[in-house]
Amino acid sequence: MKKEIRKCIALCIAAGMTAGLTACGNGGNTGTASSEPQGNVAASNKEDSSAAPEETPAPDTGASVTYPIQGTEKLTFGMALANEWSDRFDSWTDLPIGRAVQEKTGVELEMVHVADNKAMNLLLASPDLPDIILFNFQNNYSGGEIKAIEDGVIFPMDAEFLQQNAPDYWEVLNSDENIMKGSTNQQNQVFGFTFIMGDDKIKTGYGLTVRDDWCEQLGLDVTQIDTAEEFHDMLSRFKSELNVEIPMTFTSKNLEELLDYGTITSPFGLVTRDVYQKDGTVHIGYAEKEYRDVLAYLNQLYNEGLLDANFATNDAATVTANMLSGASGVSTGALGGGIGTWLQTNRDVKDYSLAGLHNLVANGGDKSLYGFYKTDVIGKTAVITNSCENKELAAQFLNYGYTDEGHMLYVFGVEGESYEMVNGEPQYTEYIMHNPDGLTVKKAMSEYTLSWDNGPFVQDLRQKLQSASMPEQLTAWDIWDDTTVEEYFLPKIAIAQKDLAEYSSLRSDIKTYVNEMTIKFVRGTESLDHFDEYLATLESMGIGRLTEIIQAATDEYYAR
Amino acid sequence: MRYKSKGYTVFTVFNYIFLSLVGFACLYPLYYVVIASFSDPVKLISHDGMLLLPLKEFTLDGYRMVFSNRLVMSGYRNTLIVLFVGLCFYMVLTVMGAYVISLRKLMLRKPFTILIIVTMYFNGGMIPTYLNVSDLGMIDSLWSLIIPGAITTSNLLIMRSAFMAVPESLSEAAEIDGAGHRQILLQVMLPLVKATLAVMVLYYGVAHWNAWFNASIYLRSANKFPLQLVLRNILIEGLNNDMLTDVGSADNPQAVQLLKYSLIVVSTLPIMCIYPLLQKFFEKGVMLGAVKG
Amino acid sequence: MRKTDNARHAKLPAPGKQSKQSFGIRLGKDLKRNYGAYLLFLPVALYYILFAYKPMYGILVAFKDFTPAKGVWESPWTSSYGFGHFISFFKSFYFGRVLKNTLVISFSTLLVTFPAPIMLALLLNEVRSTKFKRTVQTLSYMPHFISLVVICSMLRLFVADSGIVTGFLEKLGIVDGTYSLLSMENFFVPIYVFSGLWQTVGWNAIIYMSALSGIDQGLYEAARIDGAGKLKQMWHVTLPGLMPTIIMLLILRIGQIMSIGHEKIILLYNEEIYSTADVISSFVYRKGLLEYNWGFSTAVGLFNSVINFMLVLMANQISRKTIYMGLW
Repeated sequence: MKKEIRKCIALCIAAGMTAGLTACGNGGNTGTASSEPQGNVAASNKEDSSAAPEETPAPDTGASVTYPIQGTEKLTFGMALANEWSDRFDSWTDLPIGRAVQEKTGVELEMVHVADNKAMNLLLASPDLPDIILFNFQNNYSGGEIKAIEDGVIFPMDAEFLQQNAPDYWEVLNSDENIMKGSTNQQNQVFGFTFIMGDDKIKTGYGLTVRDDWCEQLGLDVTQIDTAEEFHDMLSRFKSELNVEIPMTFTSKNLEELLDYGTITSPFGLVTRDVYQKDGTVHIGYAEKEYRDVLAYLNQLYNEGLLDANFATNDAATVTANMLSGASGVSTGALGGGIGTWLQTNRDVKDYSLAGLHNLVANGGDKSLYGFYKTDVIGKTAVITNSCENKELAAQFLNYGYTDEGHMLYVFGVEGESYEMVNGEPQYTEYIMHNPDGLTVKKAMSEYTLSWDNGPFVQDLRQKLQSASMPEQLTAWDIWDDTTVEEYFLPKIAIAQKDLAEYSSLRSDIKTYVNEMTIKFVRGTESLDHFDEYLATLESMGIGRLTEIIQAATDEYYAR
Repeated sequence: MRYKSKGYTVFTVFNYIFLSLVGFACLYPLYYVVIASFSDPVKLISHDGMLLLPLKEFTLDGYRMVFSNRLVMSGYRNTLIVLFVGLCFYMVLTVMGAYVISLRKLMLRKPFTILIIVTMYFNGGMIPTYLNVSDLGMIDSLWSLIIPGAITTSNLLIMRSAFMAVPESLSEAAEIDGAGHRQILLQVMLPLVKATLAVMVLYYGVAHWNAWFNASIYLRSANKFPLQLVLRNILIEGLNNDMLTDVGSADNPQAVQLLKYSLIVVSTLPIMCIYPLLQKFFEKGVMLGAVKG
Repeated sequence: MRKTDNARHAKLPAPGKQSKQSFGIRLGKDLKRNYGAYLLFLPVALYYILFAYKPMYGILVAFKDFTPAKGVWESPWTSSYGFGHFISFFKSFYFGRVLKNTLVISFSTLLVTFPAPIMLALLLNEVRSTKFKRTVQTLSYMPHFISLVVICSMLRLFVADSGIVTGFLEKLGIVDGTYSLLSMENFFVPIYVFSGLWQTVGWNAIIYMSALSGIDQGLYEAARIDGAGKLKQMWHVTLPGLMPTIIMLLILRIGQIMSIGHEKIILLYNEEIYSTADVISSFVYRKGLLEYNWGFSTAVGLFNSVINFMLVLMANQISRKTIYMGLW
């Protein structure tokens, strides 16, 4: 296996060290200190797990995997059908990516496709599972991957097993504490081959979007607008000077985003409406008194007619139409789904330009306290199930995505078809970026890569940079990225199993209440004089207990 | 022979006006969808009030997109297969079940009826049902769309009440003539409940035409999906814009809107034609007296 | 549908003699005499056993901390002797509100949408022109075919700040036309109910149209000879002819009081009007289904089913006692 070029992940110093250690390992005794107890826990937890090293057909090359893997064994692979390609292909193995993966790894795949997440849940109830399943357990399986280990679905992997069969993945896991913790349970067992954010920048990409040309018309410099007052003035001038009907348009879901991602909360000293941590202590934004000032500000904008009067009943299509037709000048959204889509759709319209707007801050030029951010490990995970008879082979197969070659395949696809090397850098071809059959970038990518979605590899910043290729997008991305979110961001904690039911019940009721009251406060149907009663109600609903549960999970995370 | 009072004439006039209004109000949504499928989608969203003519530019792009999707065509095929094979199945089972529990002299009629009604309220839920279908080897087979939902209990009860409305003297007369249950059912009963049979065809036909959920959990191959599941997946795809897979730019939102309406037209019109075909069975004119005599 | 208990007994051959024999012997005789009927029932019984009763053990999920992988039997019982999910539902902050909303929406819907198709069928029945009748009938069931997503997006347009319904109400001075009606708590139930009427009236009239076609024309003749006018004919011939269908459908409808689907609610409501719009199913959808909390959603489903079933038993009993008609 070649290791000349390091992956584009930004955090590989530690990795080099562990690679050195594991490369010469011949058993399970050379793991890093932190991984030492894993084997014991795993063994005591699951007697029937075949993780025992003696069963491992030890590859001659020590702890590295050579591709293509010799032998003719098959693996079954469970995956939900994706609309992006299912209208053109029957099976993932018919796609160029599926064919290439089989060829490169030497493993023949037999796909088990299900229609959606619900069907995957049902598949998990069947006695015979596919050997490998790619699924977002976090969002679609009650209790997540950790519960799935307890339930006996997922085969939990220990250090020894991974060093033997997935050395490249093991290296990536050890490269960063958050990646390791995000991929393990409380007993330090690795639950699967996770989708890893290869660069902090990939974790961002959401914010306010504004009609740049209108600002120019009014003599405003978009890059200078970042305080609550300036934002207010801009909206007022849209309304008074340009006669814009609905200066800012959004949906109630967008409002939640603006508050939960802290896009507009910083000026009022509120980090985010959502849960955050400060030096390891958990805070919940919607239960803090600063939240009142945020609501008062929004209520003021609303009363002045600057916000969409009907945001509560808007749907996303209305917002899109408002932004495209010029009925509105400001909205909010993601890099691709928001500004990217609007620009792309209106690319032939004269006098139409959009720009990203800095998250609102207290003093001009500051970084905002918080912003949209993702955990290092997120989304779908490729897991080995307990039904798998050749777990070693499955691990070796999944390890491929973390090798340099596999990384290129999963992110960029097949050289000469979906990408070409230009000056030593991969560039997506015209087939991907401007598809001759009129496929969108996402659909074209879905044929050759998994980087349009999630999968067992490290996501590449270059993929994001190339797909969000419009200069306005890239500028917006930089502007939105100007935050101190890392300080406050809650890592990928795991709620203790015993608290899970209580947690989800509390959270669901409280969230319902908060969302309901937020809209009422903003629209003024509930007076902000009642804010203290709102806080008292939260108290009576059990916000204290909710904080306690999250705090316990956070403590456990940092102690792990 | 027909005499008309003044009051009745007034009533008739109002009746016609009222029914015309009802007809118009009910036509509008379909009309809207058809018009929208030809309209500029951005203008459509910002359009207030009634939509009477296509909004410019007139476009056929929606239909082009629909018919270029190979799953739409295979979806049609699958739906039709399920519908035709299924209908025979559903009708036979429903008629047999309903006939038996309509027999007043049958001792086990009441327990049978109650056991059937109980299933309307209590069921094992999705997972045991799925495992059951899986055990029977029907996963990824079109049979999974036909057999597990073969009887709709409320339809069975409607059918039963139609049988019960037939005077018992008729079947008793046949019995005296030496007819068995099969002959009574086929030769005496069925001709008399034609209207209800038509209702059954309609109810089962439309329900199975619109069904997508079972397909989404039992089927594994996209080329076996019925039309409604294909339609649903395309509609959802338009809404699916999560931050995790936020790539470049999403599908043109206009195209998604157009596609939505065109798909609805394409998937709705065929099944709407079934009703006029069945309508003649609802004309009055059953003369029980004549049969009796 | 059984006419009266007396009628039934009169039809049974020699009831007195039968009651002296043991149940087993009587059953044996019945099986022998009606073996043809039982044979016809066999496939139906098989269907119900295989697809309704065999999976019924799944009800246990309501009492368990269920995960698909462990299955129904292996999953552990939930807290409070298996009643944990029920207790968590009853103790939820919003239990009272969603129960109240469910009942309000359900009863309003029943009150408005149940009689309407009967009236539509009666009115259509008075139309002489076959062409007109067929046209109106065909048009009236059309909304039933349009997918809910589209119906709801149209509704949102109609009741938006500049929608036609809002405009109409503005002229009447009921609203000021600045906001969508869906952002006002008082309007949700009427919007839900009347749009439901629009969606279902024509489709639900079909069954009555077919029942009308089954009414013996001789009865009308006889009524006319007795000098009955049109209205009297409707009252004394048509309605009684429809009664068995009406009663059966009414009892079935009463058995659906607790089950308002979440789809339409979710497509129409927003956080601000939860206080009138949030029902049990939408609450469970947000709480259970979105998080794949199978146990909780099954428990609430079971709660609904038990109430629905009890309502049906009650309705059936009342109906049998008062008008001698019932489901069984």
